[in-house]
Amino acid sequence: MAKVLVIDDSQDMLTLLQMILEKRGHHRVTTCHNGAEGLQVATTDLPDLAIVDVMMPGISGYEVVRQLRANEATKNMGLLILTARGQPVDKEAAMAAGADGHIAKPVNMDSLLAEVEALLERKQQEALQQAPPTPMARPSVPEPPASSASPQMTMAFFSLKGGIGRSTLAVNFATLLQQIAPTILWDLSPNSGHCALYLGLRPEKHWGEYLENPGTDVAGLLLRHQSGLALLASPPVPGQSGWFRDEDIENVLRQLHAAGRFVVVDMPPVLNSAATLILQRARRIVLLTGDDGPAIQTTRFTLQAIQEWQARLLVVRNAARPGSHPLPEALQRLLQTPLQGDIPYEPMQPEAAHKGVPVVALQPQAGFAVGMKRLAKLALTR
Amino acid sequence: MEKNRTTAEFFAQGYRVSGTFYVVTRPLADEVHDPTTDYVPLHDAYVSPIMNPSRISAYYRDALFDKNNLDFVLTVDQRDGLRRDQRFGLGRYSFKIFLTVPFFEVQGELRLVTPKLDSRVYLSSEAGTFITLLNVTARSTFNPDVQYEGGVAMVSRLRVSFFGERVE
Repeated sequence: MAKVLVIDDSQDMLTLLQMILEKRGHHRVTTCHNGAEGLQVATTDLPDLAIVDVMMPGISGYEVVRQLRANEATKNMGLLILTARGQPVDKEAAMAAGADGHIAKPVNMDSLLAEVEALLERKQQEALQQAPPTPMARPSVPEPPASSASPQMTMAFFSLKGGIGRSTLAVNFATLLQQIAPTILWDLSPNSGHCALYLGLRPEKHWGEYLENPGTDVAGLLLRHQSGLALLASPPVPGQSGWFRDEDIENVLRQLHAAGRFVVVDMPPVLNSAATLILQRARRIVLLTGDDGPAIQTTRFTLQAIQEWQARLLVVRNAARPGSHPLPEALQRLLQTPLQGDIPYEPMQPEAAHKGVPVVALQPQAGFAVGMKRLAKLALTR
Repeated sequence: MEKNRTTAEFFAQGYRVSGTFYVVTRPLADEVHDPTTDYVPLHDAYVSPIMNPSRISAYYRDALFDKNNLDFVLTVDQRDGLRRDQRFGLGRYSFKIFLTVPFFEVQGELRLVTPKLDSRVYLSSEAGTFITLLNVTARSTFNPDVQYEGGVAMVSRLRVSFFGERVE
């Protein structure tokens, strides 16, 4: 779910675009009737993408695009010019002003949506490539306490509600990060976790061996996926390996970070001491929610329980089942917190699991993959 | 939602005007070809000089275009540039035409019911002030890199200074 700003002096066009982008694109849309208002909203709301009409009374669309590109806060956002002036010279003018694309009216909505999705994806790729070696958070976001165990970036995928697709998302997220830098996925499930299965790996080595012998070199327990992603797998047989003490967590995290820049932890659905310690150490906590009653209840109470880390929290809805889902606004009202991500249902998941290739690698254009890339961008750049 | 309006490019005397025509009463082409009226009413008209056609130098919510001074009108969608009668069928014979009007060289396809085109006869004795060309490319005379493309151009017969059939 991206934030899209539409600037057009035609109310008909605004209504149409808002409807299409929200209902079919699942984006959050803000509309403005003129360039001046659009500039103001863009600099305060910081949308991911703006669709700008050229011919508007007052400031023209070209000038809006020029000013957005000149502004440090908005210079990297996606900018599409949508105009009835569809001649080659107009396209050149749009590009010269700084737009990423030019769409002529009357517009085919399928083409527009495809253009929007492609541009959002391109911007995410650019953001991922431009991510600094040690990703920085906004100064206002309190960082986890300095620790020798977290010199780089730990990201935790967390939900106290099971069956919500946490492992699926963690696997796909880690696969995306692997495209940027060496990444390790830690399947912390005590109950025969599924990350190895989703990656087509046999959990012949797993963290249970470390617990049996705390002197074990954790790097030697990593399984390697064809993408280069390393996995610290969960023991296949539950109940035989004991559990982590706080010092174990610190030690394993330290060793994992020595082996890779990003550590993605597929958290167990509990809030015990070890889980709490990882959440404390994590630079980003992706709290997954569903949109059914039990999931909403669990998420609301989880938010209360981990409110001290709210600044590092990304609340994400995962549509783990097909069918209709409530609009993000409705879910946000029920959760009483903003959603930072909205991952659509992906029917290819069983096939991806069968092949041992995450959807983000198997079908990078799928809506699910696009949603995951947005989430990765947000986690790295927010 | 947008079907009650047509946006077209109007070219006249060194200016490019992008304007919207409300097609509630009749199509744009019917309005342009109507010999009993002198003006085309436009809404949201954006004016640019031909020498800098992407710069919007003026905007008018409502405007009139004097048909007597029009060089040509260009529509992207072919349906918008055809009269109601033309929509039922154009001539089966196609001729590649090159013509010049002030500031532009225009290339397009002329459709006739006769297999032979006599340019002199066509220009002097055919009824109607505007010639309908299909699949048009109009190139700016003084800036040949700038060209306009459209499904239909309605070219003022009175403004044509050169008219030739291209044989390929």
